[in-house]
Amino acid sequence: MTIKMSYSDAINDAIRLAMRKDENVILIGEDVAGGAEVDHLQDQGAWGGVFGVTKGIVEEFGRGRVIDTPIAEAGYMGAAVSAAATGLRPISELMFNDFIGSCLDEVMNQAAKFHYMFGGKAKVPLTIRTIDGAGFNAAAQHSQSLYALFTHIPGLKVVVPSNPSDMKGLLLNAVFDDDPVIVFEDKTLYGMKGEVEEGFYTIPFGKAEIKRAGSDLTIVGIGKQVLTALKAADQLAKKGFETEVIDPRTLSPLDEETIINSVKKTGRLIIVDEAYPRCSAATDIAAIVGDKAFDYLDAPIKRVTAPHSPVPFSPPLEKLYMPSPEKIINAFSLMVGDKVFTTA
Amino acid sequence: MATEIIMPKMGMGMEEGTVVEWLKRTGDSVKKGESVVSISSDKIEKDLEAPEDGVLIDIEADVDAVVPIGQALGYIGVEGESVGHESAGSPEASIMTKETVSNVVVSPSLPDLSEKDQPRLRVSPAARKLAKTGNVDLNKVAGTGPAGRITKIDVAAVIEEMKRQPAAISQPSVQEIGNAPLIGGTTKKVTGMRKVIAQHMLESLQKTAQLTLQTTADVTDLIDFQKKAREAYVINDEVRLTITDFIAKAVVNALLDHKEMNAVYQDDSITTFNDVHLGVAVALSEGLVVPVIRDAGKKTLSAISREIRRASQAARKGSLDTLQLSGSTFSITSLGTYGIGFFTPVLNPPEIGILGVGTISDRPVYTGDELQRRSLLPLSLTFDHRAIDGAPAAAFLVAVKANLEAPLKLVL
Repeated sequence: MTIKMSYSDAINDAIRLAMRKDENVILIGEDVAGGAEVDHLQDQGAWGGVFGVTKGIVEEFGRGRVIDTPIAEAGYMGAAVSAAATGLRPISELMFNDFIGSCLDEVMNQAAKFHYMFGGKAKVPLTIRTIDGAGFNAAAQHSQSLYALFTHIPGLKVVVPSNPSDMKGLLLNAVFDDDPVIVFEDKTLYGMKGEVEEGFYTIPFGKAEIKRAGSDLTIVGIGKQVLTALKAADQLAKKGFETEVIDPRTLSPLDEETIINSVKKTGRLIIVDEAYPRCSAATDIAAIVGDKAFDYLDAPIKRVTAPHSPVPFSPPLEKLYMPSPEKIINAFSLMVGDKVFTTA
Repeated sequence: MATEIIMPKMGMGMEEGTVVEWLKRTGDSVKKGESVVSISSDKIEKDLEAPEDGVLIDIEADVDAVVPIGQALGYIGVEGESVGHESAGSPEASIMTKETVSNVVVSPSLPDLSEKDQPRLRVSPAARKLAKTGNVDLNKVAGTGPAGRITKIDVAAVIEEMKRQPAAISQPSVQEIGNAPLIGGTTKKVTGMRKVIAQHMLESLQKTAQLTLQTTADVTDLIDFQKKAREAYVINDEVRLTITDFIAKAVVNALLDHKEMNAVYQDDSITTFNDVHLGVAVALSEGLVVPVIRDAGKKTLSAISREIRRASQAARKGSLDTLQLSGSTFSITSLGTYGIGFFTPVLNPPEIGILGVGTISDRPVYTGDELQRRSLLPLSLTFDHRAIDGAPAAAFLVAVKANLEAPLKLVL
């Protein structure tokens, strides 16, 4: 049975289910408990993170398993990696993915390497939850989408859920996966409502979802951009073009097969990614398809991404910065050479 | 180090050639200059010579293989040597082998009707693959993608079109002709020059709108004149004026006056030329070749005569190269020596006209009220009705006739 729930509530639900299922699961990070034991805040209840995602969890599981930390990413991320290596299943919240610079060594050189360097004898069942995404007027240091950085590093799994149901299943899968996993929560999706299965379930990594079937064009959307792709697909359908929209759901591992099979069918590919355009998920997927489905391509692969620029603070500029259905349709018109579709 | 025998480029338009026959086997020793392999382009057949003394150590392309220009057909080395692939494509090797086919001279001043100014084809990978599996010539596909790029749908449309007209392409098999099986006989696979002619002729008849007009020229005076001129004009063995020479000159002069016939029909456009490059068909035992007399409009009768002689001798010796066999703007073919009168010559595309010359016979002819013995020459003009209509074609043929009937003008 499904119930309607927000992206934010799906995360909260998944964390509670994981913590109930396994007492080794802990939640650690800046403000994750949210002042639950601060005397003068008791009447208001716990806030639970900067967006209130973990609200109420400390009340159910207590301070022993829901740990507020000082603003010191290297410190608590190091603690989480160590806890994972020594038997716990920590969920560590990095408030904004933009802050990864402060604790990259713990993630990149420690968590990602232990299993490999210790000949498989060590495991790091760590889940990092982090917030990404532009469109929230949060300026250049709080709006980036840095999943490509982590996709680049072997030993890390990278999850980019685009809806509440996927978020819950993928987050639960992350917690019970024995490798370090980083789950990207797009801050503009927290309020998104969707049907979510009740109770415990997991969605496996490396399995893309075909959100919409079509024969004329394949669009791979990364995270939130799946929704932009679906809007563009609706508009293209009105002009007689059927678009297949693919949500890879995880960038590492990547479900190459689903993407390649789709391109074999449609002959055309657009990748929509709001991250920076260089060395990105978009370029990676374009390269894979160029290599493995070359003979099936009937048009150049197009990428609809942010420009190679920091995210602007100005709301009109930020809107211009982001991928949009119009940009996707323009890209498609360049692929088929039909000026009818050019909207800009 | 092994030396490659490469598929030479025997003309600007040539992209690939076919291996007709290996004259040597692997392991045979060869001398520099000795013929090793016979190849054909769409224009001519040619033997490639060994670039150096040695042993034919490897054959890469078997008979009937279609090989892109510049690619190795085989290797010559010392006995026991194997082909070192690091040597393949080395500048040294390719220069040496290119010299052996150096009688092909590419001069930039000559008109090239096929490829000049053509931009590189824009084709999507998917379209390219489909064209390959569907046997579609991409040069004949109109691209509808951005900047004319050929996309999958364009190739698919051509394949669909080919499917819809299977009768026009496929020939009835032997079994379909009659119920009685054909037994005995000698079967010879169609290869080399025969294959080229077969394709060319079939294409000519399938893809043009050709028809033939016929008339007779009274050449009594011409024969007299030719005999006198021939005796009077003996400088050396080079020039021996024949009726064919006069006919060629008459055609050239008529073309200069009727430029609409001096044209080619290609890629949905008609190109008319000021210069006349006259093709003169020469029958050989293995087929027909058409050497070209370039700039014939600027040449005197004796110059044309000399060139026709040289070209037909060269054709019989097989020493013509592609350039001497291509780029004609009009052709003449003759069955006169076989006693044939009128016939229907087949166009040599992309030309739009060809004149068939029959055998001269003496007939009683009324000149005024008087019956006279006159020598008559049957002329058959085949033209492409796509490019030119009946009236101008007739006007051209009448001009040829008039030129032949006033021979003195031909030498003025």
